[in-house]
Amino acid sequence: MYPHERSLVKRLAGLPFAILGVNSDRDREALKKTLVDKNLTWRSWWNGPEGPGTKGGIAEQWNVKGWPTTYVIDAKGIIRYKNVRGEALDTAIETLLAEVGVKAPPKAAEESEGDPGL
Amino acid sequence: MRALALACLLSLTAGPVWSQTDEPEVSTGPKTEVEKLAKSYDVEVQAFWVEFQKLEDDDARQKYYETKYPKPDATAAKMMVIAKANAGKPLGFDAIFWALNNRVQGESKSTALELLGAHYLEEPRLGHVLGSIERDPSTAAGGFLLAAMKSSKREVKGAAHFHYAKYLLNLGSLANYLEGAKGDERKQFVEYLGGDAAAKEIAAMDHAKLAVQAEGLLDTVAKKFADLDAGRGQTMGDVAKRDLFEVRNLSVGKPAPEIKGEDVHGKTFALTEYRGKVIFLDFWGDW
Repeated sequence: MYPHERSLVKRLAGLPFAILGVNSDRDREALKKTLVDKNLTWRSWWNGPEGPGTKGGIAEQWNVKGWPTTYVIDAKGIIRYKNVRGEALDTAIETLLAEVGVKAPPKAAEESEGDPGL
Repeated sequence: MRALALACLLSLTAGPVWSQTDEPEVSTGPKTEVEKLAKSYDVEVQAFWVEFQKLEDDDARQKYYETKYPKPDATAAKMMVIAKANAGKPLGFDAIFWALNNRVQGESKSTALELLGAHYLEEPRLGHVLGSIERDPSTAAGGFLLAAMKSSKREVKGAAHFHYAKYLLNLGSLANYLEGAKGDERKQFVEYLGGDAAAKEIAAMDHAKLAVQAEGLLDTVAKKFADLDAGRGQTMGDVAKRDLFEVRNLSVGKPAPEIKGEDVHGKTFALTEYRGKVIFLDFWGDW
């Protein structure tokens, strides 16, 4: 999912859109390194200190049992989609941006292909 | 690696909460026919992991996992022969328990459900296998869970209420997913659901109604069956309350609950600071 997320960040830069993560990795220092190494520029809550990891904290409050679990929330703070992936995710975000009068720029040709992986 | 990790994780989290190793071990080595069959399948699985560990490349591992992980089907078919010959007896239940715990599909699954419905609705251990049925969207699975809700054994009744609620919620998310799926993805998904007719039935379901029904059942579990053991050190009350929170506050159309906490650098921030923006919220881990 990283390549898709990175392409969203790039394509929607400057628009009223943000990716926010809730991270359940156990090792904080390793996570800092991952963020840099894999160029994950968006912000994440670290699921501590009760967890850390997959138990407790925000992930437990949100009843997350499988990773990744994803939500798309509109500009008013309403949950609008759950666990949409791939093209359906692009469409969901574009629909919600259109609701606040923002038109997303089109995808570059190479972005519409599947994740090349990292 | 993420996809593989997810596959492993899902198979853990989606599976039944109970395992037969929870029971006290009286002797070493397999004794019954069921234990012998189970043991020989375990040996196959262990051999798989040995080979898996030898592979260094993530992609190769994933491919090996997808193609070579030992399928339980042949063992399950043998288990069902034992189950039929011992219908109503504890040994028959052990065989069914194994098959469902190993997420067997197809004919063995249908046989397992039939035998459970006909002979084991009063079996106290029945509650432990219901978790492996809740993700089966078939009407047979739903009907069986409904029948188990009428069991006179309190632990079965409570577990059946809980897992029937989860069954209904799963139907709702499947219907949701079907709505958004296109092309090959849709084709594969329809196949998973059991063909066009089954998919049509699921697509026609009223999500809101399913959610209301599930909420009522979870509420009953939280009020009347909260003390029951749900495995993994949790009570039915614990798990039902979290699921109730999800149904009531995390469904599509509900305001997202506030999130406030520290980022990896220890700086506090809140979800509401981003009001006015479209948010993609990702619960993730790099494992």
